[in-house]
Amino acid sequence: MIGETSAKSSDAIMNAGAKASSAMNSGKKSTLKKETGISSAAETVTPAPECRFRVWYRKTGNAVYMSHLDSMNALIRALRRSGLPYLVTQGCHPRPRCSFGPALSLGHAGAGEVMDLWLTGPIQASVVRERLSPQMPYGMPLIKVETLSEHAKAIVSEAPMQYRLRFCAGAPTEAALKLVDIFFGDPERVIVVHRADGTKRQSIAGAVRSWRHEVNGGGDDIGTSSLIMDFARAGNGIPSPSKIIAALVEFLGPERDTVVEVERIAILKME
Amino acid sequence: MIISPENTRDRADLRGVPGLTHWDLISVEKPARYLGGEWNQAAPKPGANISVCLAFPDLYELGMSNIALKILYELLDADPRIAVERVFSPWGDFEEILRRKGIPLYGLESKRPLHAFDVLGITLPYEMTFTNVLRMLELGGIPLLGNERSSGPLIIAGGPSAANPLPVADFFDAILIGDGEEALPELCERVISWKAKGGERRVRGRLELLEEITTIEGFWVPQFPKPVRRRVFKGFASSAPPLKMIIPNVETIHNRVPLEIFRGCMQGCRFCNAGYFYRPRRDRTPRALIECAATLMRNTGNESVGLLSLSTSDYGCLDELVTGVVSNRVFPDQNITVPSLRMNEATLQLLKRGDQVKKSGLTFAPEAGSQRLRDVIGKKITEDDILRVIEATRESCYQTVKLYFMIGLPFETNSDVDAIAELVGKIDGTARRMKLRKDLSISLSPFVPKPFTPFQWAEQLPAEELLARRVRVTNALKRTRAKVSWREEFLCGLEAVLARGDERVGKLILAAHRKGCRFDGWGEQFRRKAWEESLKETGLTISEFARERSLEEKLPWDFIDFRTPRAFLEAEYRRAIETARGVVE
Ligand code: SF4
Repeated sequence: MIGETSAKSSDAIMNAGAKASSAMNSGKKSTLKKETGISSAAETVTPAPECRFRVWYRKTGNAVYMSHLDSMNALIRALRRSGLPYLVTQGCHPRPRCSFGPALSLGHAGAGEVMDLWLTGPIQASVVRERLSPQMPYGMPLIKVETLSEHAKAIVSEAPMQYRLRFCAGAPTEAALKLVDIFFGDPERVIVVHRADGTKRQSIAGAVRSWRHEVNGGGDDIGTSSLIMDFARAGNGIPSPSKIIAALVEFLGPERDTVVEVERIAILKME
Repeated sequence: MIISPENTRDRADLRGVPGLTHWDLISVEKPARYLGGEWNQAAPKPGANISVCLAFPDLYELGMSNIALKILYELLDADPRIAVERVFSPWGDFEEILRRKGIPLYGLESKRPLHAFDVLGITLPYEMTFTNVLRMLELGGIPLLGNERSSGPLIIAGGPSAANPLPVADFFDAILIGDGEEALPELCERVISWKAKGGERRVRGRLELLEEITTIEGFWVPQFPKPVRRRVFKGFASSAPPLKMIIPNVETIHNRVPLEIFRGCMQGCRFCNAGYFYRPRRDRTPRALIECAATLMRNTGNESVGLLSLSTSDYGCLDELVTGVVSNRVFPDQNITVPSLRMNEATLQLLKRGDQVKKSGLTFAPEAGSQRLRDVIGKKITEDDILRVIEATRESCYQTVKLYFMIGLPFETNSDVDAIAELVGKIDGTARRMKLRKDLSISLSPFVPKPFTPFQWAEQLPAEELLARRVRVTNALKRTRAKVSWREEFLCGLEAVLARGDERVGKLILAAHRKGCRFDGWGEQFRRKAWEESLKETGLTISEFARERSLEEKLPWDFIDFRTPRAFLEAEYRRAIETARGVVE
């Protein structure tokens, strides 16, 4: 749960609407009006500040193998099924007005993913939650819904992030942990990044702020452990966390098979 | 086991498929194809009497758009005694993992291997999927030949490419000719009571069941061959269409939920197997359809409804239906798509509508370039109709217009071939004159004679001749702005073999399968050499199946009562001959 995760590093994780909304950004009322859809109800309602919501959800189970695009489509369908009065964009192909947090790589779980949506009028966040929760795609359970100010900052893809590699019982071995230290501890470490415009070698210096090995909590997790990694903001020559994790896992060699899940546990507030 | 969000901590069974790891899944393209768990997937039925897996022998993205699969899935799921699942052909990358790890191909819902089902029902949508069928059986741990199976699931087929069941007879226990809505539940009924009576445990149990299936109208059982009559679902018009469709977790070719507005088409184009396979025409009422469209959108959250049929502009109440769906609005961003348009008045009206009819692309099938040849094949459109529709696109925001033509139609002459480019030139000219900025795309396909059509006796020209005619068209089309694509001639020759073949063709399919053929309809996957070798090995030639048949000749599939008498097809063929000779119809 994001609530629990954020409690561990409460000052860093952007999970509170009030905090997030303090910064001023785009999305003036005029924009909103222009984007109002063809529904007559939508046209007559003057959008109030309460009509923007931030939906927190997990991405888990087999849903982690859905691409970012397919996940967005599944969430938009959930919004439609919920019967909530959503705003739509204008143009030849109108769509519900929504914005999504940074893309999760295919195969990565997410403990606190976000989607912002705009409704045509003030509705209590608890009602949005009630309507949306039973419609969420399988493997993407809803965590919570917050009311956001229209000016709240969107979560940008270059934000710092925290990831977890979850190991199966009995793993990782001492040797594997040593490999992790070698991988992250080498200031000269470069990784090979494949992109549409060719292959590039990029240094990961400064990309990983900290890493630690942690025993997982109770329940089904008893006897298992995780590697927790804090990544700095990507961009400006710093590769993205998913690229670094892919390289790390490659580096682990056969030990890679003991990793049962890669999970983004938090998208951190910009410093 | 289906993974629910609550039990994701159950890491050992995370993917639900023993042996399949996270790293396997992320190494393949679009792993969500192989995992199920979509919205509206059938809930598990632990107490079900039988399990049925519906198979589509092509990729998930294609199969999930197939309406027959949706209909049968929902129908069987409504029966508490039947647990229904789906399976699609795995792409090469995933197949390699299954083979390497010895994981049998499985049903997406429960992940149980194919060999553990009671019934495996395979849709045959087009002939070039036959090698995929064999591959699915093999991967599912099922012996390929019907007479080698003494236990395990009953393997049945259906769909338009099963109309002539002989080429695939070796591989199936029973083949359905015609509509499945009643026939498949009847078959399940027999399997349930056979199982209850201990049929599985009796030595001759399987044969008893097969013999029993011959008594269900529409089913042909290769091990007990008897005359068979095509099954028609007479209650179609008043039946409910599938309304709780599964929403695929991978983007499919059509992002729309299909609503079948009528079945059958009485236009009577002489080459068209669908036209004869789905007869008679049965219409749903616009009132019922308007309600269904709204329910469908609410149940799926999908904003686009496709009004589906073989020829949607022939639906008498199309305007009423479109108006009804538009005014009975469910979502502010909803739209309607209308595929399968003919170039007629109804289409013109539709193009003029400014409202929620989605304007992505328009597709028409004039099939032949000259009026003479269109008359011969029974395609009832004129050049004037075509140009009027093109003009009418001016008022719409349709961006592309796609036209389908066939090459090598019976009685085609060089001037008919040239007429294709001439017609496209006129269309292009009209568009230029009206300053229409539309993309024009032309698709050329060699003619394939199909059983149970008036052209079942006609010849398919040799590949070299078809190629020469195609080149003639593509060269002439260089003078227009049209983008041209075509189907390969050799492939269509094979299609003729697989469509008009007899029992001997099973060996050919098996040989091609053994040589690694699969996804034959997928351009770059097609292995011409392997097919050529297979033909040689089995001593078959394309030409013996492509040749013209005389009207006196007995045809291999004559034992099937297709409900259109052979005499009618003969008369239609004669009329085509007379038209070609210039005798007015
Ligand atoms: S080609 Fe189209 S219009 Fe002609 S019979 Fe077939 S489905 Fe009907």
